[in-house]
Amino acid sequence: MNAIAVLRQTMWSGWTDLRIVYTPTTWAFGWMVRVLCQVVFYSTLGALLGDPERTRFLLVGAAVFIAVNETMMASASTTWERGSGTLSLLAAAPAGMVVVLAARSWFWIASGTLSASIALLALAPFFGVRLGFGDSLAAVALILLTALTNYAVGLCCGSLSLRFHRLRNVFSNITLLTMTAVCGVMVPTSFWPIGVQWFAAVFPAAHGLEAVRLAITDAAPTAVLAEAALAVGTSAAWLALAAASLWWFQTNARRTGSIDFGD
Amino acid sequence: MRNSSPAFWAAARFQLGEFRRDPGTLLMLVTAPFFAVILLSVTEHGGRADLAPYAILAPAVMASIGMAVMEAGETIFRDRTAGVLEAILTTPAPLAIVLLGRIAAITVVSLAGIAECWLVGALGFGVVVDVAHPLVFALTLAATAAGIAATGVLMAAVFVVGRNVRSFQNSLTFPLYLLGGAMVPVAMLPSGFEALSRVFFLSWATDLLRDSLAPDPVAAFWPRLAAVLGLAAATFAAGSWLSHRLVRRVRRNGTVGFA
Amino acid sequence: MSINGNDPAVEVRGLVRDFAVKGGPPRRALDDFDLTVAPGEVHGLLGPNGAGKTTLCKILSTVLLPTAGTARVQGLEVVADAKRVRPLLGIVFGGERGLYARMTAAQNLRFWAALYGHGRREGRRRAAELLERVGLAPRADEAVETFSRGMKQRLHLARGLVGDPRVLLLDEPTVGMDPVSAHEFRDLVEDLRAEGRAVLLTTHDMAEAEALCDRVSFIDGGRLLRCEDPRVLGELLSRHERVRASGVPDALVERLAQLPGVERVRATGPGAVLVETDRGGAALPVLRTLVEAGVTDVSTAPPSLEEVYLHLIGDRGMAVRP
Repeated sequence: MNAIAVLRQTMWSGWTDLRIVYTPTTWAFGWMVRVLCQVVFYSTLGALLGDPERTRFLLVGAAVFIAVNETMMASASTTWERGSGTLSLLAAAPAGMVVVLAARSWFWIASGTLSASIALLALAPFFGVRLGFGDSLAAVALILLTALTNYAVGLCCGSLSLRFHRLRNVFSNITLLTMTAVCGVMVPTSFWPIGVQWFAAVFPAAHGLEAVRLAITDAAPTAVLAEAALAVGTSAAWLALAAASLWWFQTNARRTGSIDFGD
Repeated sequence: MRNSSPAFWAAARFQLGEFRRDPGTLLMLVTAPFFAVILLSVTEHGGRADLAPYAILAPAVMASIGMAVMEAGETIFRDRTAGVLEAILTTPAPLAIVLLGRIAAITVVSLAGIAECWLVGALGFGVVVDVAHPLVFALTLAATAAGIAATGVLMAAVFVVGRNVRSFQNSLTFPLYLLGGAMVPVAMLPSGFEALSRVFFLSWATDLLRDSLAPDPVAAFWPRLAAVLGLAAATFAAGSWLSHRLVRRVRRNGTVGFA
Repeated sequence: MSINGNDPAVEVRGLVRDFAVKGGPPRRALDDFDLTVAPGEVHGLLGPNGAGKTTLCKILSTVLLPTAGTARVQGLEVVADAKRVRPLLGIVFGGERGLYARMTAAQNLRFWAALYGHGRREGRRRAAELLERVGLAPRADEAVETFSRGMKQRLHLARGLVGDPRVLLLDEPTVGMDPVSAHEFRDLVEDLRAEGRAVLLTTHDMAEAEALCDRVSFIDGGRLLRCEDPRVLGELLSRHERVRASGVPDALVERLAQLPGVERVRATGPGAVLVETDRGGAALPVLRTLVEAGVTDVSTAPPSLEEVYLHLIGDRGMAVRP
């Protein structure tokens, strides 16, 4: 198979999918309004607590996690293949379901990075977070890294969703909210018992977020790079898990005949 | 409105059946406990035990209004695609009543979120929230439920003609949580937003609900309850009027499909 | 305005409906259309796809507003008195739409009964009664999505009857049905007539219209072409006998065309002909010629509704209106 051609085709399909989900109007006035409200919702908790330091912590966490939120939607969009009846065709195609499904939902990475970056940079001044040009660049780059590395988690949920179609939103939402709770988004990971902290370390998003926090507080570059490396490392493990899960789904479905034409 | 009450009850019963047929509609009752954990972690970490009631109330309110709004869209979307919406328009029952029946059923079921969040506080964080003023709480809750149902009807009316139902559904939740003062009282919002939020019944309702949980006496209860009920009624009137107008527009343009 | 027993069941006068078309002139779906359905009459509305049949049904059922003209159901105007018109009409759709697929047949009917203002107990009673009537009682508690096309159609009919209406609109009810189911459905429609209900039936199935209808209106391009008793309509084409024969060799066809009084000989299939005569008694020599030539498959008959239709509308029965 011509891998490049396949990739190019599927990424193009993914782009057209995005245009169906969002028009520029609905993205700007629908999705971005929600994103901004979501980040403000969490950031104002700091005002409720009467603690400016908390406010800054919450703002950064909430904004960066928008990227995580969006890449989790790969869970649902993976199942669009099933809905549109193309799954059976993919299973039969030589390109391999894994590569195609991974490439198909790539647009969430782009959309997530963009909306999270806008949220962070636009709202930072209102919540007492000062970001110089260098800090802003670093933040955006690390947000992209967070989105990329979390994508593997989204794909994993997607592979489960292919099998349990009805529960697709449940999987992605529970995973997202669990990460939001324990990965240092709203409270530092040290708040939780040690067992939970180890659990949180499994998620790329925890490390991506920590990298952003370190970068904008002018921590040592080595510290930032260490977190980035951890994000990539854990992401590779999730990617392997997603691939294994998709492969298992494919073989299982071939055996039980659960991939239907026009399912 | 003579023979409308059977339509209301039939729509409510239909919706309860839908929960059984499609459990995905109960998603927000699954996510509410997670939000409770998230918000409680913030208040506990901040050493503010007095804010624990806020953290338990907020996810319940979010689940209720979230479910009403999401299901409002789903309901219309489903009926439109199945060609049932226009069948409803040929019957004597007003569309607003059918919508109200469905969304009222959702709202009643969504109140289970309160129990869930209370349990998360009690079992997960050892925080037991007492209802200091039970009567105030109960009355306010009933009024809030009415307002939530009315908001759902208003949203559903909009979706009658809207094309991008799905995209806007997802976009409504957090703006409503914010303007409704679900967690942070609207008094803490910038003045422009606070004024806007005062038109939304939920901002009054959440303030009152929080006060009913606090030991201090509740100030100006009856006027504030009247504000909640009045705005809820106004919301329903707006939803009813809008659905009437949009149906008339649909009739003029012929944009609802037939056989 | 109250309902008068002498009012026609349906009365349409000068009805016009235009639809806006992007970047062009509006499309006229109904053009000065007139129609009257008497109480207890089964009235057919015949026309090709896109002729305006469904548009008329939508207007009568108050789902669509007319651009001009009036439409009345039992004397009540469908625009001004829409609220009072709705309980009077039963609408029977064709096709897959209009039912909740995942609910059972009984649940569907009870839901619709409530929308027509019937309380819970009354709704249950009606639902059971109607399911019995349309022959779906054994499947009452099964999900509609498991039903065959014919069964769904019967459920549509039950739904149309749930408000006990005196006037029913049936919009292409037997489209897509197998012949047996279609036949059974027609029996149900006959029962409606026997009960004195007025029925407006839109269709492009000639046999159905011929079998069921007291009168038939032809509609094309939104205009009324003709309204008559189907049996009388044949006279439009020819007052004289027509002879049908099959197994006719080509040479014989030429000879038939030469016979006095023969207006036209039309081929209706391989070896089959239809001989149209233009004067009384002209059929006899035709018959004799055929029989002497050894053709035994011969019959005489007045024109069928199908021929009238084709004559009036032309051979565009299946074309979509541009």
